[in-house]
Amino acid sequence: MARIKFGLIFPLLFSIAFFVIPFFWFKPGEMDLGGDSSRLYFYDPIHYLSQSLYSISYGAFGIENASYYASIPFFLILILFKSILRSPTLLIVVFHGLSLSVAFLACYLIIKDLLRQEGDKGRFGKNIIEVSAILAGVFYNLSPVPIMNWDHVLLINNLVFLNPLIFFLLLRFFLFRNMNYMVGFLLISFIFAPNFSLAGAPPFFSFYPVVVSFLILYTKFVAKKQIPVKKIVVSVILFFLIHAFQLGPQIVGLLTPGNIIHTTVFSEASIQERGLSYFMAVAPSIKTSLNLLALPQQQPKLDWYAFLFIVFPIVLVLGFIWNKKKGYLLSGVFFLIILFFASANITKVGFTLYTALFQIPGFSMFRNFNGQWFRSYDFFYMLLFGQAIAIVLSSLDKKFYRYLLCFLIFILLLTTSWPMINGTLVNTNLWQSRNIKSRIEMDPEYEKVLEFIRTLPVDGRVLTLPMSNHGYQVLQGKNGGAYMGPSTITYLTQKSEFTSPGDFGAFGSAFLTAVRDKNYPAVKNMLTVFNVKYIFYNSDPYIYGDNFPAFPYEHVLKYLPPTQEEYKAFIENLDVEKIADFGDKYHIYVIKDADYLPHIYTAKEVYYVNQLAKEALIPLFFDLPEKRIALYDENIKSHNIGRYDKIFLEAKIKSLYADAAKKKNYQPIDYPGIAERTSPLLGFLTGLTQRNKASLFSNENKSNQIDDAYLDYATKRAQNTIDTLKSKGDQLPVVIDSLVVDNLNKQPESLNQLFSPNSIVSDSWNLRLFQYAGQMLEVIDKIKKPNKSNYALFTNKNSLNDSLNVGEINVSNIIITLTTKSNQDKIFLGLLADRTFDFLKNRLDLSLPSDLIINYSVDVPKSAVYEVYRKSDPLESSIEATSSVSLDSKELIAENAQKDQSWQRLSDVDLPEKKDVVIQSLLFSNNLVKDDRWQTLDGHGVIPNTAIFMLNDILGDTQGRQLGGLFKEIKPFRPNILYVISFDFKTSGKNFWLNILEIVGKENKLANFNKGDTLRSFDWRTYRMAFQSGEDPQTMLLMQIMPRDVCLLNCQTSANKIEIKNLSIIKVPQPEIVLKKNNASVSQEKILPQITFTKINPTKYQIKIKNATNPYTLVFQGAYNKGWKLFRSNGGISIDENTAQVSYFNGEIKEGNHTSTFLSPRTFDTWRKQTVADKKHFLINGYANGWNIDPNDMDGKTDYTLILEFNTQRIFYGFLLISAITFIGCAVILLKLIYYNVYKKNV
Amino acid sequence: MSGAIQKQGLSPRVGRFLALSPIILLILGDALFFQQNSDWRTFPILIFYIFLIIRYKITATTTFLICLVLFLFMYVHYIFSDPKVFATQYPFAPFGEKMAEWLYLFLVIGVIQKWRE
Repeated sequence: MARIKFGLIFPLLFSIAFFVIPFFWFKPGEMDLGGDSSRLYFYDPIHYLSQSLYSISYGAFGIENASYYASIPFFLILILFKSILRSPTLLIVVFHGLSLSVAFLACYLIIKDLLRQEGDKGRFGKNIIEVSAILAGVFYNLSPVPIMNWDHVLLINNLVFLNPLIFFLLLRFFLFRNMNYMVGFLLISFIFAPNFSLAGAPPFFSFYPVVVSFLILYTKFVAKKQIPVKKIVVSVILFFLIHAFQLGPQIVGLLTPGNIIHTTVFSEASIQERGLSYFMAVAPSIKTSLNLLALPQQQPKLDWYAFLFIVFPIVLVLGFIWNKKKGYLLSGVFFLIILFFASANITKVGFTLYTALFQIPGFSMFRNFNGQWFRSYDFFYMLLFGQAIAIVLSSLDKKFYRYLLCFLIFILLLTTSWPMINGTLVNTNLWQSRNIKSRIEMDPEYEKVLEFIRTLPVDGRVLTLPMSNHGYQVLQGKNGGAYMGPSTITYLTQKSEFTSPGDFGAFGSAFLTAVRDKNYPAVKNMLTVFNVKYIFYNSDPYIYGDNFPAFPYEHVLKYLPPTQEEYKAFIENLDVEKIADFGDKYHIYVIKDADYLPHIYTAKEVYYVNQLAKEALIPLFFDLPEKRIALYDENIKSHNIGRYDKIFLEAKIKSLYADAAKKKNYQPIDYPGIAERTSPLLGFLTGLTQRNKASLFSNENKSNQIDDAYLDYATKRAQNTIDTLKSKGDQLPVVIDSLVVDNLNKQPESLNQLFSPNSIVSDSWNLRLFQYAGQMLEVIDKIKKPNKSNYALFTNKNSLNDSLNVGEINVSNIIITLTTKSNQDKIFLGLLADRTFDFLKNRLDLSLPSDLIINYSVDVPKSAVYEVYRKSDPLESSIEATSSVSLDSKELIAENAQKDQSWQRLSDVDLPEKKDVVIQSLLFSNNLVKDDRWQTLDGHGVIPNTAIFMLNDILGDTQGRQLGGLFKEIKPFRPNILYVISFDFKTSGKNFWLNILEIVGKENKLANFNKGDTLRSFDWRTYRMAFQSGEDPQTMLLMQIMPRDVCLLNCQTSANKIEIKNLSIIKVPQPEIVLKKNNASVSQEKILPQITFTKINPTKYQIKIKNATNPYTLVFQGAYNKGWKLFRSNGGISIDENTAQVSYFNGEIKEGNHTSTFLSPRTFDTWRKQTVADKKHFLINGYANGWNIDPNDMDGKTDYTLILEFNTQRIFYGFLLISAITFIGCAVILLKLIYYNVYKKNV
Repeated sequence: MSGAIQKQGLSPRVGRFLALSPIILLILGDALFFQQNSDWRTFPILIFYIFLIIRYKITATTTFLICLVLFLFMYVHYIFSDPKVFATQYPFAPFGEKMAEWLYLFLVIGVIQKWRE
């Protein structure tokens, strides 16, 4: 090759080219800020920083999130950059440009160093090293897999340049034992701490352990140098010290039981439900071949260039063939290790080993294994490729071939990445939108909104409307694009906010239901208790309507106003006051003081609710004349039932119909011997613990104390028996016993009538069906006995009935598809299977009672006279259903019902203290079947001549099956309600399907299956089924009856006849019944202290208490967390009540001038102080913090000041000090080392 | 090469080809005639190949050449197949994907061989 002096010119040119690429992506003023975690920090890093300074999130109720701290240094750097560059667009492009440029340079330098190590003996010329290093850098940046992530950049994307940069620094450290590089690594890791935090754990653990192992082995066996152990130990210590500010609080959380981090890592539920299940679902779609070709996974079609990418794996293999050095081999070993982790599907043994790794706490972070390992894989692919191309180039004799190969590779990468270079790839439309671009120019009016919200004086939450599914805010930009991502109000205004029903946590469904039912008093009560003070409403039709027909609103549209016009009406009904308009799109309202509950208050009334926290909002659905309430739920053990102002007891429904309609929601683990992916050789590795559990099952089997895991296991085991018929059905013999044949035309009373000893003596169809029947019979008998299932008997029966139906369908399909059996054998098997399932279903006995009585049960904690209320259903028509309520056979008469009242008051009852008091509700429900009209699939209406009709008379002998049978629409449709279908039928032994189908939504023509069953009888039988309708009000509900059998013999004479009479379809409303007791005297005597509170920052409040002569309940409306502590203050900020800016409840509660002070002289004033009333800190109002404080807790004082502070924040300041000292120390050391090296060279 | 083959007058190259062709045929047979992967077939074939390596002193270069052949098969299947072939069809793996699995296993063997050499 000609001696071309590349020197630094070409690498610098490439570096500059990469830096410039992002400048083609955006027009001036445009930004791409949206996505799952947003990039709002580019838009406004100063205000975004405040989210990171505290361990309490601004969103929703304010949960703990210690991972926020990690971003502080990075955002400080962004603030510095923004102060220089001024424009957020410029900040984005400069940052992306630096990422690409530094990534290229780092890869270039790494390959150069590795090749030079090998090239000392003269194998690689300078030019080959230069070209290979450049190609490696270009490959790393421009190959198809890494460029795909530029359209939704996350903080994790910093790994694009961090991985190679850190590798380069560590490589230099190991090779030259120079601490400069290690200190440089520490400082860089500090700035980009999010990538070294718990949130960045998956890519961290997928890269750094592998890299360190590689470098140690490389240094020892290839470079043949000593490992600098002492320096490594010092570096590790320095790493933890410099990251103490973010790792410290997270490690404390990890080791604290009950902490969200602890639960995420260590709970078995998180291993199975969030890790292994996800992994098993994703694994089949990841292809090893695509990884080897360096192509992206899960693409619907091949791109045009895909076939050209064979050149890369061929270069790798040629490198192996022509390689003579260990360095390349070592790179190959690690490449293959990473490939295994990124692919998973390499032999069943390999897959089994992989699934076994999920038993390691924390390994579930790799559930999306391809997504977490691809960066590491991409890097090692580059490492191997860079060395391989050098080997191949040096092995090619002719310069022409060398030039050609380099040119081809470069052109291939350039052309395939052209959409990324010219910005097409990042110029995307918002997902599921009508071609709305994802990049926006911020609307100046909206910037005024943000500024205004920052200045709002009250420390209350903001409710953003329209709400969306997942907390996404949609904002139109000035350029016609839109921002769709986490709310700008949460992240940029330091105000807590609700943007989606999910933000209400467990109360989301109650809120949605209240809005859907237009229960405005309940909605207002909820907003009160959730501390909502402001409503931000974006009335722009661009962001809520045709442009976004599905995501992010598809779920909330079923409950919330579907149009902007209806939203305006909804807001008017909340009786709020408008305080600002910005343009014609943005409006801000305020909740009136009379309807507002401050962030901190003392409770005037204390309620007891007999429900767990998430269902404890019952009182909010009643009138709340006194807003200052504290709701205690069943979790609070230490209470005196007498001191409550009101007691609410919700009667629990005990309804067979509801139980029969309920679906089990159990996520099982893989069971050995059942999971298809378990290698038979090493099956024990799949689930060592599961095998232990299997043995426990057999123990529980003997003791009959079964649980849901056993039920699922046993059912699957039985299903497995049928599955084997699929593969072996043609080989298994069929034993036709004449004694059995006689029994096939009648209902069997025992299995012996169907399976003679002769027929099950050896492996046969008969034996397999008999085994299945025996296994299911065992389960059926067990569920009828006392057990540990979390579900009611009828729910378990319903679930088993569904399993039997599935088994029946599978057996029927297997029989039909047998190729080696005669028609006679098939008919026999069909009849045998039918009678077997008849027997099992008869034994299961899923018959529902005909009387429509709903029972309620309530534990009465205190004998007293209780008011009884029944929930009115605003959508209920008196034509459809009514009910009467009785207790001890005495009917409770309803008082004159007023229109629009949510609750109907019934007669008061005098109840003793007693468990399981039964209340009955007798229903009178009208038959919804108004006529006998049925329809065929093509909509043709059919009315049979009489009430008893035969399906085949209408459709002919065989037409029914092909044409889908007959349909009847069930109307009017009501969402989330119980329906009961009953009818008498006779099929003369033939099989029919009964299906309940839902056609959902306005335009959706697909039918969703709700429930189904087999109809088969010799004599007249009564069938009764209960099912729950779906939640979408735009649903058409259909009942379908169709023949199931395929005729095998005498088709002309055998007919599909079903006779049906007395068809009835009714709704079964299950209204809530609540018992309420007032303790009026308690609240009237209560004298509350006056409080004035001031927010110092989101994790610290100062509360001045005056006239606390009696015990009281102090309530803080933030997400309950044991980390919130009360301390005595020595004096603190002098709060003068006269300068308090807002007051409520006749001056009993005042708010001071709130600030957001991160550090001040008083930051540490609670250190080494004792907490106050820590043992009387409870969860109240379903989510908030409450403390019962009495004068003894304060040594008899009545006037004092308390500090409310979050413990993690207190710890954080200590760790921050350690990190700051370490950072400054490292910076000083680095400067000294550089100065020393430069000075030494000059000298 | 083994004395037996030399006695028959076969060149080392032909002898190596004869020793390796069963492996290629076994791999092709596994990929073409069985819809699902099975460790019961995979590991015996690998053990057989390791035996051949020891018996006929097959070098790492040969192993990597086999990898190239497997790459070729995988590539041809890849470019002439509908992308739907590569969609999830668990537990059935397409031919190209089975080739990729064999390729990985042979790369592992080749790297270990090369290291020892």
